[in-house]
Amino acid sequence: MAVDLPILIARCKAGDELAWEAFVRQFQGRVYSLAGSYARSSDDARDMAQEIFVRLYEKRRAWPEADTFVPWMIRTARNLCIDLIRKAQVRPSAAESSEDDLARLTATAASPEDAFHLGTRKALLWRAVRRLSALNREIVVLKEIQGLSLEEVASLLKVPVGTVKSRSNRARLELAEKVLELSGRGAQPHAGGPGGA
Amino acid sequence: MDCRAFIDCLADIAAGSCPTASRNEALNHAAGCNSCAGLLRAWQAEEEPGGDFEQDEFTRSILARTSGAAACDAARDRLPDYVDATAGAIDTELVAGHLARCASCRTIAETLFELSAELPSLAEIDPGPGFAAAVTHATTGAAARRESIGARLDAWWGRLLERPRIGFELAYAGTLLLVLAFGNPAATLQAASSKTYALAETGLSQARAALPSIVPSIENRAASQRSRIEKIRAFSDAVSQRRLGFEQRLLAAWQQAWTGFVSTVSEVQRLAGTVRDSVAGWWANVTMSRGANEPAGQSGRYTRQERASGAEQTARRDTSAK
Repeated sequence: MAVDLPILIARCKAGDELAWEAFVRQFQGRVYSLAGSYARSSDDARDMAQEIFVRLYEKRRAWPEADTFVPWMIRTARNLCIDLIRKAQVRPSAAESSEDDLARLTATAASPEDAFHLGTRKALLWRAVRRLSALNREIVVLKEIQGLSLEEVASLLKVPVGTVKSRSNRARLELAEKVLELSGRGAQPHAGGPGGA
Repeated sequence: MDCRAFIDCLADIAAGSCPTASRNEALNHAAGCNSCAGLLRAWQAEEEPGGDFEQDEFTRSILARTSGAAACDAARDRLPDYVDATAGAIDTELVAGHLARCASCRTIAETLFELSAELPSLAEIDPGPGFAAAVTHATTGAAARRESIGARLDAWWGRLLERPRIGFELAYAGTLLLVLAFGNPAATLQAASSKTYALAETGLSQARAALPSIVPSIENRAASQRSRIEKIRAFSDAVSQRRLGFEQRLLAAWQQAWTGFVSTVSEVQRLAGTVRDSVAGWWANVTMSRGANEPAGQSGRYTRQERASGAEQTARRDTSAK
């Protein structure tokens, strides 16, 4: 059961270690997912997520209030991921990405059959996300997956809001085409306009 | 029912095989959701029995000769807003009409609907058991912190060894060790430069020692050169003097000749004046003697014709007198 975020943040800022443990449990999935979108493998994602939590713990006295906490946390996590990638030279590429690791980790459904199908589908989505260009991938991860607003994504990426909006639309279209391509349904470029049905 | 569930039973609704309860629930959802309503219309239009074939062919042929596939590009540009139900009413209608006839754009639209439902589910991934414990262990407690630092150092060393530049860095470190152990190979070059400097110093001091014996001969040669220069200068002065005297004489002769010419001209002018005065006096005498014998003109003076006629009369008188 999730603890109310303002209370959790206040307890953590006050140095309550139990509240910190609850915070980790509450946000580990989100942080791990964000790290996974930058990391090359599940091990890298795990290390990066742990580094993000260590950094959050060190800065817990300076955490913002609850209404701006999640965007701030995502910003901090994203910047740290980029720093770690830059330092450790573990920049992901489509060829090196290990979607199977993510598929294994994303299989959280109840039954083995559901886990298999859900894992396969999520792995396909991750694979499609990783095949996007760098900026499109970040926009999809931050806006569509992490749920940040256009303004928050624009502030984070230091680009105009209009650019984020247009790039987001293009990124979603590109992602849809890649999903179709990977799922074998194949994106048909154009069927010659209406009447092609 | 949400959009995801609506999409799942969309094919059954269009085919008429959806249970009544689910169908009603889906239709209620579509009534409040523009995007799903458009998608439903597109599916229903596709499932309708033929009859539009000729019209479709006609439309396609016109579009192929006019805008081509531009309609698909325009529709796909607006699909995200259509799926998010943020497009305007007219755009929603236009996109729905396009989707009803364009299978490829409809496939993209369906995938976008699916992604809208699925992508948020990727926001959280379970990192597996023990992750939270590992994080709290790494962040709380001094012993755990030391262990974490050790683990981080191990990880850092492991990553360091994986770096492509590690070969260059090891080569650099090895070179430094060799220099420290066996000395600097550039020291030989430094010794060579010191020897060269000493040789240059020796040569210079020898030249300084030989200088006193060379100086007198140089001075003698300089004195002889000076005397030659003096002679040349004296000759040059003499030539200049001669040239100056010639110029002065030439100038004096010219001045003398000019003075003579001017005096000659003055004398000629004086003689001409004398002749002119004599002629004028003679002519005055002639006119005075004629004025006494012949009447003058009205003006009291003779004109040229009168003088001519007077001369003719004088000549005739002289002839008759003879």
